[in-house]
Amino acid sequence: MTDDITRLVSQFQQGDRQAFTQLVKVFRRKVYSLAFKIVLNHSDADEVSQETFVRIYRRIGQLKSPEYFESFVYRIATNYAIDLLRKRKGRTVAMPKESELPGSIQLTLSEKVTDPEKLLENKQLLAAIVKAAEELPPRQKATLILHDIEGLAKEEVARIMNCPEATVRSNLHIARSKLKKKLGKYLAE
Amino acid sequence: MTYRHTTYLHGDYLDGVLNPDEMAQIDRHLKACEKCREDFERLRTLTATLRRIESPDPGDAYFDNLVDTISLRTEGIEDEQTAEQSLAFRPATARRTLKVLIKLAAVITLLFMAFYISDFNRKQQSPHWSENISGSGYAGTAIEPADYLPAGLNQAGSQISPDSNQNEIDNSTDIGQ
Repeated sequence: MTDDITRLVSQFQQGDRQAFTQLVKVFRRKVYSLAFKIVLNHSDADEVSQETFVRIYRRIGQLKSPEYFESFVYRIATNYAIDLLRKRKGRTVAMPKESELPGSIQLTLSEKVTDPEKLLENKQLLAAIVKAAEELPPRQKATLILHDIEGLAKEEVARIMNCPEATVRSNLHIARSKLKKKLGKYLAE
Repeated sequence: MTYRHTTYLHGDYLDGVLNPDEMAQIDRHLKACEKCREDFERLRTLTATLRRIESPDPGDAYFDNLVDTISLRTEGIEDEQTAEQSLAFRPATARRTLKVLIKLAAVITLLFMAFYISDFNRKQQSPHWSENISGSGYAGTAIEPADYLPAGLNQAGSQISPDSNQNEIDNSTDIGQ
């Protein structure tokens, strides 16, 4: 898979548009998923996804090592999402009601739970996490999402965020501490 | 090891990125300190919950449409980039152009100087030049008509007697008198 991606990236760098389309198909779900976790609504996640691929198209010449394409994609998506969060800060965004969204356009917890009580608990926990995460500064929030939700290694997060690994560790520690404090009653159970 | 110190390392302990000595130290501390143990458990629950968070799936139709939209948006980009490159100010090109202009200016200056010097020399050898500079009180060596007129003729074309001084001009024969 990685070799295939590296080959597609090289072809794309030589001007092959079909290779670019293939790369969009491979990464579209990952980019949308990451974007949604940062911006928390479909409209902005869609904007981040589109703009990420347009920017990749424009800047592919800057990528010296095709094997780092995934980090390159994540970096562009994360930076754009952070910029969007900063733009939206202080501005009231009219969030559509859950019932108005196509399907279930919201974050979920992956565990398949049938017990209604547990389902409600999960929903409340998720809402509390989202609320607490929204109060984090954008870079701390992005670090937390990339490492703790997306499961990327600190080294890769550092590459994506363009900062030293020590900064990743520090941001992660601060973000987790803030969340632990705000989610105290849920986490103690 | 202080309480604060172990708290800071809980994340790395959980991620398994500490060296074996540090791992063993944290292990020992967690067994002994209830406060740290509670903190570590909260962290473990938090990270486990975060790992379970999933984004929504807007559906295949959305993702197919996304590919089409991106394809449309990237269609004219190569042409735009080529146009931008051709219009862009490039310092290297500007430096090269400046060097060529300086060389050109130097060549023109040299040509002009060469022309001026040769013109000066030519004028120095002409009669009018001699008269003009004589009239203006120029103190240099004047070229006299005898130097350039054929032997036996004065400036007005009159014959000069062999006895007369060659340098003496016969004014009576001058045109216009």
